[in-house]
Amino acid sequence: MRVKLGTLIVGLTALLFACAPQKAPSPEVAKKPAVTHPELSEQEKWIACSECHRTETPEIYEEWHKSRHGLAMVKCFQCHGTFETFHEPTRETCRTCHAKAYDNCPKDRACWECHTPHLFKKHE
Amino acid sequence: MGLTRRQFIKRTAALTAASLVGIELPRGMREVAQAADVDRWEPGVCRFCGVGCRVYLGLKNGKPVAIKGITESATNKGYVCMKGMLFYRIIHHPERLKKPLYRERKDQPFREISWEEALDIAARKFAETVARYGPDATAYYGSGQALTEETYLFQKIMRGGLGTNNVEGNPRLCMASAVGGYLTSFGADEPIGSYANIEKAYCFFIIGSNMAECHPVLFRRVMNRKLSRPDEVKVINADPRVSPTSRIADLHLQFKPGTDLALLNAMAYVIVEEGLYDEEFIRKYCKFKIGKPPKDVSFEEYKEFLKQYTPEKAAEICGGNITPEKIRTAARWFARSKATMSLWTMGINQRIRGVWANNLIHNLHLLTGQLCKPGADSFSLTGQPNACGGVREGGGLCHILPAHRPVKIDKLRHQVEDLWGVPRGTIPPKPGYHTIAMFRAVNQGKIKAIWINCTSPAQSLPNCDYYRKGLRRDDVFVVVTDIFPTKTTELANLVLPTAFHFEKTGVYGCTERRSQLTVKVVDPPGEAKPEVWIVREWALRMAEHFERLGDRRRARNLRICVKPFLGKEEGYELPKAIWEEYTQKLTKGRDNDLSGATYEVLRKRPDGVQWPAPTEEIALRGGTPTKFVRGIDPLADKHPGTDPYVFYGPAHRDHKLYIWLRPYQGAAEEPDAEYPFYLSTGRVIDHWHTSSMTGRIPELLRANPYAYVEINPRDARKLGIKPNDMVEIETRRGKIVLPAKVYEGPIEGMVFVYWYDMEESRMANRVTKDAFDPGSKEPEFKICACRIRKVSGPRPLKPYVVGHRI
Ligand code: SF4
Repeated sequence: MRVKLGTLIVGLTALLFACAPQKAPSPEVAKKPAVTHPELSEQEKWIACSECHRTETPEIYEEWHKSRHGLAMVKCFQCHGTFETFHEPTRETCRTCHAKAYDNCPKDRACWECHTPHLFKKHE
Repeated sequence: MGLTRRQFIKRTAALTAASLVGIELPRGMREVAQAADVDRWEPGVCRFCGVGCRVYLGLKNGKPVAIKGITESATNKGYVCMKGMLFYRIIHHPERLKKPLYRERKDQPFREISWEEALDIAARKFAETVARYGPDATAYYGSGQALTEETYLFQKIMRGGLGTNNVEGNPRLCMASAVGGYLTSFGADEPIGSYANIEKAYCFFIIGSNMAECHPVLFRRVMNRKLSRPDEVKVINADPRVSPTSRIADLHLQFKPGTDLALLNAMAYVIVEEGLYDEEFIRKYCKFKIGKPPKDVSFEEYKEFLKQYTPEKAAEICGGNITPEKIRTAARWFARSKATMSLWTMGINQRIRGVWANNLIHNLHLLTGQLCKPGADSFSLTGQPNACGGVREGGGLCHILPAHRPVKIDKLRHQVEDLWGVPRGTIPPKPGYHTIAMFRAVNQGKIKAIWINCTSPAQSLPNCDYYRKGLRRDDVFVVVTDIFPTKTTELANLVLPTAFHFEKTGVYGCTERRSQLTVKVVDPPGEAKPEVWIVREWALRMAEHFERLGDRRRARNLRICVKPFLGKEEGYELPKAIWEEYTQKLTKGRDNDLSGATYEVLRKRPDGVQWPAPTEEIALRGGTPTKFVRGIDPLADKHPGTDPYVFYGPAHRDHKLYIWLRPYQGAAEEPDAEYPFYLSTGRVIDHWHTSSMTGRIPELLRANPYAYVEINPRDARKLGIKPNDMVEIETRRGKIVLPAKVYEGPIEGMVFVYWYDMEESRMANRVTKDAFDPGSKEPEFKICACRIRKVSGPRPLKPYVVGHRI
C-alpha cells in the first residue's frame, strides 16, 4: 500500500497551474490542462489530499499546516474540492468565511494576490 | 514528460509556491464562478454543532448553491467550518426520504404509503398501546438537533396528551452531566457567560475537549486569541489524547483516562496551599458542601479533604506525563491570570462521575473568583445545535418540564398543567425512563411503542448491539422521523420523511444561552413534512382513536394540547404559534425567560437573543451576555442588595455557589489482565455524529471515509502493528475491526476510535460500555477496557452509509 501511495502523488497545484497561466488565459487552456494530477485508482481516491501531499509537496503542506488555516483545520478540499471536483479557489470560495474582506478588498484581484496562499498572511 | 512522477510533483509544487502571488484567474473560470453565484442570501443558523454559527444560505433561482458566514454575528464572526460550508447540499440531495414507509413486521420490506395512512397507523398503535398497557408503555426519544418548537410539541403531547414522562433525547448522552454540574454548583443550568469571553481571557483551561474538531469555529476564536498575544495568553490542554486542539497549548497535561478527578482536586489543593484563592469571593458567595443529601462543611474541612490530593499523590494517580510541577504550573496559571476560561465537553461529561468532574472544574473558578468578570467563565461546550435551547430548556428530558421545571415539584408541574389548560394530575409526578433505562425497557418489552425523532440510537447508544435487539422485537412498534435512511430506520415499522433545515422554520438555542431563528426558504422534497405538522396531525388522530377506545379524558386532553395550533400553515405560522406559547407562557418569569424574543425580534437580530430576555427591548439588544451580574442581567437587578453579583439560580434558594468535596473515582471498567487497554471514542471534524448527513457529501466523506483506531507508537511496536494494518478491538461487549493509525495521539495503553462510521465491523458503539453516572444518567462512552490484536495487513476498505450509493 505504501508503495502505491508513493505513486499517487497529488498535484493539487498542478491542475491549478494548468488553469492559471500567468498571462491572458484562454478557455481552451483551462479545458485542456498541460499538467494533470496523476491518475488515482478508486481505492486511492479514499485517501485525504493532505496524506499524500505531506510527503509529496512538503513545502506547501508545511506552509498550510503552520498557518491559521492549518491550525484551525481548514482542509485542502474546502478551497480546492476533491480529486473529481478539483478547482482553483475563487473569491467566492474565500467569501464563505471572509465575507467582509470579500466586500472590502479590490474586486479585480484574486485574494491570494495580497494574502499569500497556504500561509494566509496579509499583504506580503 | 521526461521526469519521474516525484520530480514532476516537486517541480510543480515549487512552481506553485513561486508563482501563486500575482496570478490571475482564467477568464473562463471566473465566469463559471459568477454563474454559480447567488441571487439571494437568506439568514439562518448552521445545522450542525453546538457553536451555533450564523450563516446565509445562498439561493440561485430558488435553489441552494452556497453558504457564507454572517460577519456581524457574535457567535462566529463570519467563520464557518467545512460542515457549515457544505450542508446546503443536503437540501436537494437525491437520497432524501420523500414518502412515508411502512411495514407490519420488521422482516418485511417497506412499502410506500400515504400520509393519511401513516398518521392513522401511528395514532392507532400509540392509542392502543396506552389503552392496553398504560401510557408508560409509550415513549418519545428526541434530539438536540430537533428545533425547539418540535421538542416542545412532542413532549407536550406525550405529557399533556398521553400522560407519560417518557420523554428523552440524545442530549442525555452528551451533556446531562454538565446540567447536573451547573445545577449543583451554581443552582442554575447553563453557562454564566458568553463566547465573547474568549477574546478577553488570558488563560484557557481546555479539558476533555477536542474543540479543534468538535467546535471548530470556537476553537478558531481561542486560537486567534492565543496568536494575538502569544506570550500573555496561556493555553492548558488536559486530555489523555494529544489532539489537534493541543497544537495551541502551552502546557499539555496527558493523564491516564479516568484520573481527571484527582487532577482537578490537586489543582484546587495548590490554589489553597499557595493562597491563590479569592477570599472575598468565597466569603460572599460560596459554601462548601459534601454528600447526598448535601451537608455544609467548613473551609478547614475542605482543606483537610484536599490533603489526599497533593500534586505528588495526584501525579502518581494520573500517570502519563503528569508531574507535581506541571500540576502546580497549571494551577498557578489558572488562578493568577487576569481572566481564566475553562472549556470542556464529552471527555468530562461522558464519565461515570461526570457531574462530579463538572463540579471540580467549577470549584476552581469559585475558589479563585474567576467568574462573572470579563474573560472569566466556567463554560461547558454543548455538542449539538439545540441541546440547550430545545432539550434542556424545552422540556425534552424525562425529569424536566419546559423552562427548567423539575417534574417532581408539584407546584411547577401544576403550573405547566394550568398553562396548557389540562386538568391537574394529567402529568405524572414521577420522572419517566432516562435514556439507558428507556432502551432497557424496550428490551424488556415494557415499552411497546416508541417514536424516535431526528437521531439514530441504533448507532449512537453505547453497547448498541444490545439495544438493537430490543428495537428489533416485533412487539415493539418503532416510528422514526428523519431525512435519510439510518441504522435506526433499519429497525423501524414506520419511517416518516421530514423537512430539513431551511425547509421549515424554528429556533435553535446554542451553548451560550442564545436562541436563533431559521426561517423556511425552500420547500421540502417530495412529501416530506415539518415535524410540527406531523405531531399535530398525529395528536388529532390519536384523539379519535382514544374516543373509539372509550378514553374520553385523553381524547379531550390531546385536543386541548393542539387547539392553539389548529389550522396554522406549517411552514411558518405553526412553529411561530408554538414558539409564542412556549416563550410567552412557559418561560415567562423563569430563569430562561425568553418572552421578549418573539419571531419578529429574532428576525431583526443578526445573531439571535441570549436569555434572560424578559422584554422586547432587552431582546432587541441581544439579551443577557452574562448572568447574575447587576447592571447586565435584568433578573439580577430585581433582587435587593448592593453586591455586584446575585446568584439567584432556582436550585439554590440561599443564592450561594457550592464548592463540592468530591473524591477521586476511576472509570466503571478499568483495564485488567484480560482487557489491558483503555478504549475511548470521539469525533472527527468532517463528520457529524452518525454521518448519515455528512457521509452523503462527497467532500466530507472523502476527507474521512472510514473510521480508524489510533494507537500509540510504543504500543504499536510492542504488538507489531503498522499503519493501516487491520486491528481487532475486543471488549466484553463484542469485537470490531479497523485500520490502524499509529501516532503520538492517545496516551500509551489507550486506543481511540472515531464513532461516526456506520459499517458494522467498524461501528464503535458496538463495543463501548453503557455504565452511566448515577446522578446525570449519562453513559461513560469515553472509557472502557479492551484488548487489541493485529488481524491482517492493510486491506482495501470502502466507506459505508446506509442507503447511500457510493
Ligand atoms: S463550527 Fe459548528 S456551527 Fe459552526 S459551521 Fe461548523 S458545524 Fe456549523
